[in-house]
Amino acid sequence: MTSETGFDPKLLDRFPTRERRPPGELEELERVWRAPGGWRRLTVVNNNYVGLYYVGSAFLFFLLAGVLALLMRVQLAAPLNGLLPQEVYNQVFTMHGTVMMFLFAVPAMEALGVLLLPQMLAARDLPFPRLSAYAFWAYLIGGLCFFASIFFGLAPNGGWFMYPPLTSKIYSPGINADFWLLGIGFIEISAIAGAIEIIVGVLKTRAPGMTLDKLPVFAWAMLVFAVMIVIGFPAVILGTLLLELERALDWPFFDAARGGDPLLWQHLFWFFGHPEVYIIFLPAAGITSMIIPTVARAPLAAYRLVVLAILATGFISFGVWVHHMFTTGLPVISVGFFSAASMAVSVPAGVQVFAWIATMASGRVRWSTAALFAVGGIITLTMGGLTGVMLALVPFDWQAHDTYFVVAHLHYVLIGGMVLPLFAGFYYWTPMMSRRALSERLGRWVFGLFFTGMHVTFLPMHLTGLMGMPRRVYTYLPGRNWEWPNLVSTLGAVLIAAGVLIFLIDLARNFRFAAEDNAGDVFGGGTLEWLPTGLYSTRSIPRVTSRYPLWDDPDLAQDVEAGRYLLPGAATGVRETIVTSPLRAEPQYLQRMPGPSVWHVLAAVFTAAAFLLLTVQLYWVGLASGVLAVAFVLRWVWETDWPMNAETAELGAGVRVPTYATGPASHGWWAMVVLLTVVGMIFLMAAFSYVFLWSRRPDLWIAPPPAAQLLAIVAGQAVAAGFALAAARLVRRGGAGRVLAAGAMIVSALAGAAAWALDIGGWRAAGLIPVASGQGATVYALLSLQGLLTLVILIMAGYVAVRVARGLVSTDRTSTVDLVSLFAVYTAAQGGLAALLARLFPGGG
Amino acid sequence: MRAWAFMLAGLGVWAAHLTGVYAIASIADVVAVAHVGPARWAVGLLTLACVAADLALLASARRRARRPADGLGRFTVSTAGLGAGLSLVAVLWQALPAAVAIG
Amino acid sequence: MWPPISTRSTLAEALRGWPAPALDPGGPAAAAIATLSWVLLALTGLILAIVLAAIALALLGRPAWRAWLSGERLVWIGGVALPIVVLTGLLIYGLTTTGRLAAAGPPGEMRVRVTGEMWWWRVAYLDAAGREVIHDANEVHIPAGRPVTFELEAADVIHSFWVPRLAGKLDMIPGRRNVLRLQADAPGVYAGQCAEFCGGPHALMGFLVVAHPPAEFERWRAARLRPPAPPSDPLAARGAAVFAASGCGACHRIAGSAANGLAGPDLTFVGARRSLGAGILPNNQGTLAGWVADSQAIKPGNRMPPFRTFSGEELRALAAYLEGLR
Repeated sequence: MTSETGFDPKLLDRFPTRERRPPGELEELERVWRAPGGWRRLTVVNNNYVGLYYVGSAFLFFLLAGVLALLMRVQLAAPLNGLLPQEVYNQVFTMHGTVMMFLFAVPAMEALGVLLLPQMLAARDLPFPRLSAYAFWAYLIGGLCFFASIFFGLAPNGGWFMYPPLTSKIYSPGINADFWLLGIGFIEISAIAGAIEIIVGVLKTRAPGMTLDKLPVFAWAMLVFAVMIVIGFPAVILGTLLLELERALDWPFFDAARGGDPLLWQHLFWFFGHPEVYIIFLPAAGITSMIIPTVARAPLAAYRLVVLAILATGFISFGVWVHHMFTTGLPVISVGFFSAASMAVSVPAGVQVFAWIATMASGRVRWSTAALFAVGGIITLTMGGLTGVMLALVPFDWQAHDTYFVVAHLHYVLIGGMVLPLFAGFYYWTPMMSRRALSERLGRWVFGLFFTGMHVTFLPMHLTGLMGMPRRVYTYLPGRNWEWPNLVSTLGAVLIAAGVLIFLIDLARNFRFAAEDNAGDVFGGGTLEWLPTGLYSTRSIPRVTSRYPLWDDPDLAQDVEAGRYLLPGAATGVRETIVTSPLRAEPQYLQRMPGPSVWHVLAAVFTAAAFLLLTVQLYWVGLASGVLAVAFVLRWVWETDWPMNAETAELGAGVRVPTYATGPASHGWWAMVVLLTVVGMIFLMAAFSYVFLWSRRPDLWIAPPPAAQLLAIVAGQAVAAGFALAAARLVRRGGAGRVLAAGAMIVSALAGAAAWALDIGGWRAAGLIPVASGQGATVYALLSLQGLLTLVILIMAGYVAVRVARGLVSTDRTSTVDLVSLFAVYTAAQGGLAALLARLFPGGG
Repeated sequence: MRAWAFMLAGLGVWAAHLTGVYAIASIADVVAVAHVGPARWAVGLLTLACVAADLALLASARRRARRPADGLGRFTVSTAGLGAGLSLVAVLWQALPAAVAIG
Repeated sequence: MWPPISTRSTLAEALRGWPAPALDPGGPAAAAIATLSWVLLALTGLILAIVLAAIALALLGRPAWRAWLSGERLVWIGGVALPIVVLTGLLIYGLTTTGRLAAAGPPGEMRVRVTGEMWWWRVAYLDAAGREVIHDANEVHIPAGRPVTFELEAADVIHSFWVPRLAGKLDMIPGRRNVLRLQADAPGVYAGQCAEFCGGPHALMGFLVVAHPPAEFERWRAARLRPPAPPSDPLAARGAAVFAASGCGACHRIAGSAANGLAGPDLTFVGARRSLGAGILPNNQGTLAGWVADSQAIKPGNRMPPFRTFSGEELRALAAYLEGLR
């Protein structure tokens, strides 16, 4: 067996150990991981609590959006129904879609990841607990305020994908659209933060021996989910930024009269929007892949095909976005390519469905509510996938697009592919975190009503769409025969509501949160989340040798609980977890984990506040709030990169690992790389926008500034990059190296700022203003992005200087400088590229 | 890093093909009205290159599968091969619009 | 073999949703799509049946069946081989149909330009040189049995032009001109609907396509090239006076009169339209009066303000005048 890191795998053979654990070891572990009580509970960072709050909040938004759906269905039960006036209905359907997609679906999957992944990987927590807590609070506060807009008649009303020009200032003069644009802003931050957590968590904090081929399918799904967020969300981040700039400052990205193009929004939105639905579907498919083997008491069939299916979906879902634009008049050969890719993306889904069936066949399904929801989900998802294939064929889409046929399709795949598996997951994993499991008797009613109601609601809609009923209509004329299918759909919605109501009753009666004395492994699952746990996850971290450790080693639970595996206590007296290598999960170092803290909570409050205040046009207060948010983030980050009380620590049985790491093996480095990928994708989308608008109206492009200036700018950025790299090397030299490193970072920041100033000055001198044309808008958008990064580097250079002055940087404590240096090198590279790109395109005017 | 690159190479070929055909179609749309001819040749060439890459990956995976390997090694090779196979199908499908004389 | 083409000749018949318009084709484009749709429905039904059968067998079948279904084999057959075969065929079918449907028309074909407005349709018939020679709104007339080229544009936001019995939909996007070829095989009335959310009363933005026998169409066209005669009966003449005095001409155009506003629908031949308000009301003196008095009550949010200051007598006169514009 080869090694990935040089770690000798035979060391792991020393586990499980046989000696008694020292007295007080378990108590110390419990003390270190204890959650604060009272109002201090708000500062908790432990994934058990944060995950629970997160799932609960997501479910709350599901209920709220569900009530909106009920209102819509009652309105549509009869033609020319006056229950909801037109404007109210337009806000209700927009909010239903927006809340379901942004405030429920993605956060629910992230929340499950936060809740389950550490236990499933036998890590003590996620690698950045405060980051997920921050993401949660920003999401909850922001989401509630966003939802409240509907009570003031200020909810967005342009549909959940908010196409301009309808959502431009002219046709949407109120702040409703701004609520959506800025309201989605903190959701985007939340999602990115969660994605960083999950990528680093799945790849770097697994139980030793859990090689990639033993990774639970849910973890694979969450990994791909998180990478897709990193690649896909930037498109909507940039899109919302551009539309907000157009609304607030009149920069014409989507205004055809000045060289903008409404289709630019559609490209950006759907490049995010299609992966978004797979972002929602994949973790739920992962849930099904965990539940079916347990209820069938058989390992998942075709594991390697299922994993490949998840990976392939992650890739191919990025190549189908134009299938949402088949009716926009794009060249037929273009739409043909995307029709083909849309066929390809359905293959991995079919693979997973048949793998589930094969698993059921190879075992013997023991029925439970979880099993019912899982199998019900498979059937519903299959139906939705089949109508998806129909829609992937261009001519059929030309009839069905923007009709109730699509409404039927999307609800079949989202409910069958996500909601039903989610409910299965609720019933399945509740025993892990509650003293009592949910009621099986009531559960069957919940399933029966929900499943039946779902089909009664949405099956007729396939026909309704082909009968000519378009989407997003607040009413319809009598005499079109649309009454009957609409009425049936409404009755189905009532059934769904009844099912959910019973679920809520069951939840209230039976769910009692308990990290320790939970109901236990009621279903007989084989994966690590079913080990006995406390707030510290498992007492000791097992060495994994199979995909279903609890099935293959009946003594595992007992051995883990008795501390016979790795890290049976708090080796350095603080919260810790083992960082392992990505392929073979070989222990690399011991990571210090933070405990409860108030700074990230304050950062989240002021982040949400900043976005909301900007929305209601309280600009100065909003700016101040943003500054405070940044300040609290810095105060929070200040506590990272802290000295540990020992250079190495023992994991047990004489196995020692370092307690600090920097460079490409460290979790901080990985987080920075993921963050830079997000920033890079935002830049890529901005570059695409520039090229796209140029291709539409090259006649509006003016000549760029003189070429000599470009050389100066690139030189300035090269200097910035060089000094940033130098800082990372200088800090490793003794003596004045640290001070020199801080100085180098400051020079780097100033050089980058100077290059940026040259860039923007050059364009102004060339006579380009942002409101003039698509060129103006996109060039200044690129400059704005660069300006933002430049500002961040200036702040971080100052931060490094302060840390050096306080003696927190040393030759063996270089992580802060390394990470800032990495960011600065990226910023310089982007600055050079942006300057080059904007000057490459000829201008005649 | 190399293991990841090998596992995901096939899907990377698919991504290159889709990016390529999208770029070709977009450029063709901008550059000329009667764009179908050159665009189709370009798509054909790109497809040949991608098919060759996928076949090479499949061959490589098959070779490596014969070497003794542990669970992770077999998994890596298998994923690489399956990814290349799916990529091959998707690339051929994506080439069809250029072949079927639409546009 | 396929369901027969049904002819609908009145507004009420055109608006009916049964048989489902997308599966009740009235022209070659819609027919091609309808055939494809039936094939797809049959195929997906078959595949769903296979999956359901597999699930049932996996759960309840005999041990020999269940053993056959376990392992990777089922995944390879059902998840890889079957989809590749079916989807390849479907893709080729779909792509060839797409190509046929999107083919451009010959240069001399009749052209109609329709511009999507919030929340109505501006219609203009083009002559051979591309000049707009007939102006209308919310209703398009074409000869039956011949393809007609529609140039689709948008004045404000994105709309979508959809006549399900004749063809798939095509968006109207500001800054772009999209081209759609439509043909109605038989004379009749075909209902259309805006199919891209355009805010406000998007739900009530419909239109009609009226197909005439070719000879009748030529007569219709010739008649439209001449503005209507001035009103003969006194009530209608009174209505014309009220129209002129109330500033209606600032938004509406009536050829042959002083009214030449372009903000709202052209009213030159409003009396001849089969519907009012963009496909939502029947066209008679009662609905005309009601629309003028308070169109906001009928179609909230539309761009025409209510005119409650008109007396009952004025409204009757206006309705008589407008009804006579045919």
